Amino acid sequence: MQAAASQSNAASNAASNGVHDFGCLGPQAILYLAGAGVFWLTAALFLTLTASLQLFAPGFMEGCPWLHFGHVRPAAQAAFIYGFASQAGLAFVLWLFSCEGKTAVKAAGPVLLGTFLWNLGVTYGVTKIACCGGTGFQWLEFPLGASRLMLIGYLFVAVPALMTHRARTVWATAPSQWFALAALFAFPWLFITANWLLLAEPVRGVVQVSTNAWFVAGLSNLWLAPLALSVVLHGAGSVSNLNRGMLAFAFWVLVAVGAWTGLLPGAPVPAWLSSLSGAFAVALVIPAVFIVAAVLPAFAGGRIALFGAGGFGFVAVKSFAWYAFLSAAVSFPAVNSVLGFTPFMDAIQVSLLFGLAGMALLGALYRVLPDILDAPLPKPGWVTLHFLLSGAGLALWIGALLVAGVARGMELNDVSKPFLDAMATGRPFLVLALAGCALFTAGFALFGFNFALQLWSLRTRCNCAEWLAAGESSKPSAAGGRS
Amino acid sequence: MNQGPFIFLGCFAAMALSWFGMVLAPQLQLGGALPVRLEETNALYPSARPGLAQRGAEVYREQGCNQCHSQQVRQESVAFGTRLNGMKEDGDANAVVAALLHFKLAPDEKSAAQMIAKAPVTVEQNIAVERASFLAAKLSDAGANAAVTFTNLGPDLSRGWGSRFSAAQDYLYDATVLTGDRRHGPDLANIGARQPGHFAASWKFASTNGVDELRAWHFKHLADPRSVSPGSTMPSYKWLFEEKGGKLRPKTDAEALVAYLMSLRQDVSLPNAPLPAPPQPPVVATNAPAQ
Repeated sequence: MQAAASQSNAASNAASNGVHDFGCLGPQAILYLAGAGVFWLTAALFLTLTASLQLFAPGFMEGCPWLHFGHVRPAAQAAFIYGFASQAGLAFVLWLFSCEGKTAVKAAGPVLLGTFLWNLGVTYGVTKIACCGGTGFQWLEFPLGASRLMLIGYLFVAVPALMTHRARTVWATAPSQWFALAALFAFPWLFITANWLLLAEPVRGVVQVSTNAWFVAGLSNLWLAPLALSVVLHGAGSVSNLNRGMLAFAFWVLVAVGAWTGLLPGAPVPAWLSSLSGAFAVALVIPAVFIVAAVLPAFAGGRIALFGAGGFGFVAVKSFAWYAFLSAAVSFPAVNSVLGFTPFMDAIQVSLLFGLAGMALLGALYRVLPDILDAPLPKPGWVTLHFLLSGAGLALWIGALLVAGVARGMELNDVSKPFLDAMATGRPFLVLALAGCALFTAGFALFGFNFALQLWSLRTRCNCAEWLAAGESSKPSAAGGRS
Repeated sequence: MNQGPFIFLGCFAAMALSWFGMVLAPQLQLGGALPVRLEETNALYPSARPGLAQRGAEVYREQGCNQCHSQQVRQESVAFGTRLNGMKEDGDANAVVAALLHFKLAPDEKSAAQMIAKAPVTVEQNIAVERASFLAAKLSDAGANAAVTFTNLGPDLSRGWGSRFSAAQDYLYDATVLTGDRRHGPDLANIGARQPGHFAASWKFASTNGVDELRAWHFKHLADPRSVSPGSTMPSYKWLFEEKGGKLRPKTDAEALVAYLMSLRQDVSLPNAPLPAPPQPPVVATNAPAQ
């Protein structure tokens, strides 16, 4: 009774202070998802730095079987996609559905359980990759046991998110919610089907190749991209009226073509399949153009401070355009025969993962964390520094990989050049790419320190541990918080 | 767009379509594929790998070799040509010389006669298939044994990574198909079939270069890549070896991995991925009884 009364008081206090009420355990659910995401991004960046270094310094960690390139690269990708992007994305979706729908987070307790199971699965999966247990399938390196844990964990998070959306008090939905809903629907289909057909009851021969390509394309364009675009659209939509017609068209085109785009020319599959996939990859440019056209006006005129948290969305949407155009380019056989298998493909992947998903979701955390913790960032100036470091790092990283890819691809196509000489061509640019990755990591370190200081400042104002454990009833006072 | 179920149904339809196209359709087309019987040897292709090589495929996956090595040879185009294989038994050499001159396949009579003497010889290459067929027909009419030839083209093939593009049939018995997505090292689809002296064992090649020496090269390459490939960025796999009597000895996993690597070969002509036929040797008259 006492707890219920205090919750009611907290809700009324929140309402009177103009602070959104996330309900019992709602802030905790979002915080744990976001915090776990931040942890896994730390791990992913460490592994990515290691893999980038090993590309030109093979002696690094050479005696350590767990940290050699064949394990580090898939572990880094898995840690980023499943550890960071998925969890930070789900944290944002919960926050978005709660804020846009003006309702509390429903069934937040199961979300906490789901977060635990998801992280258990990711930890098990990354450990298995490091210990020679990877499956060999791109972006699906986790063994079946890890995937099962993650799937159960996902259901514990996604169903409450849908319940929250259904309980909304504002009927009209924003474009950011469309993309979030599409991502929530697409992920279980992709994840269950891929695990079933590649690991549980594997299909034969090159059907594995097309199934894996379908999964990678779907995960890119129907999970990671919609989550990130949801963040961007929410940020842009909060300061200007977005063109809903354009965005609705872009949304449906993205949903329609997204999972078709994974196969490249020359893959050992029926020619009609790679041709069809290439055509859909070109069609991916359509939603990119429409989304950029709809969103960029919001960034004009200084309504969103580019050199701040809003700038992350700007870089993210530009990265999405880059990703779509580069993916379309390599789907042409003449281009693919030169650039396929080279660091050019890494540039496309970095544009998607770190450019679109990474920047958008980090920008989202700058918006979400002060909101749920009800406390401002201790070092707001660091946000600009983070943005500058990350933006410069990304530009250097992607640019260097593009140049390395073109240089290496041209040398490899010149068959008079010995293979090892051709591989040495792009090496200086791989060093620059590592520098770009390091800058991105340095920017993220500022975010991490800011987040840690924010938690620490809460601890000095109230019994933070009690709040984390007990829920909304012991929410810290709004003193010094957002109004 | 305010209805969640509407978005759900739209996504469901889009996902279903892509699943039909990218997963179900390839499964219907290729899921029931069987090994093909080769005309020349009457053997089945592909055949299952021996046990040690099968374990090697698992080691390949476990060690993440596919993160750096692809196993798919790409082919850009096919160049056609016409080859003069020799004279028919009742062929008129003068008529063939005249045909070679008429179609500007030889600059003068002497060169044309030398061509016939040196047969099999390619008289023209890198031409359209129609022209190649036309020339072969005209030379045959004149009394020569002529045939259309083709050459598979592409940088992968020129580097010696294969003789044709990788086809779906090549992966039929792979438990996990590891085609790879990057090439920080060379393509390995044909590592077991490459001429060892030219591509795999540059440290030593002679006509004596045998399987045991090739295996020894692979072991040395795995244990210390830069000792045999200076400048290589491949990491050492020393944990696949153990030291005995002051020497590195391969563990079972290293033995299996090398067995797997040496089993990788896509050097069989398939109906949809043919290999260029080697030139027919000239018919030498013998006194052997006719078959």
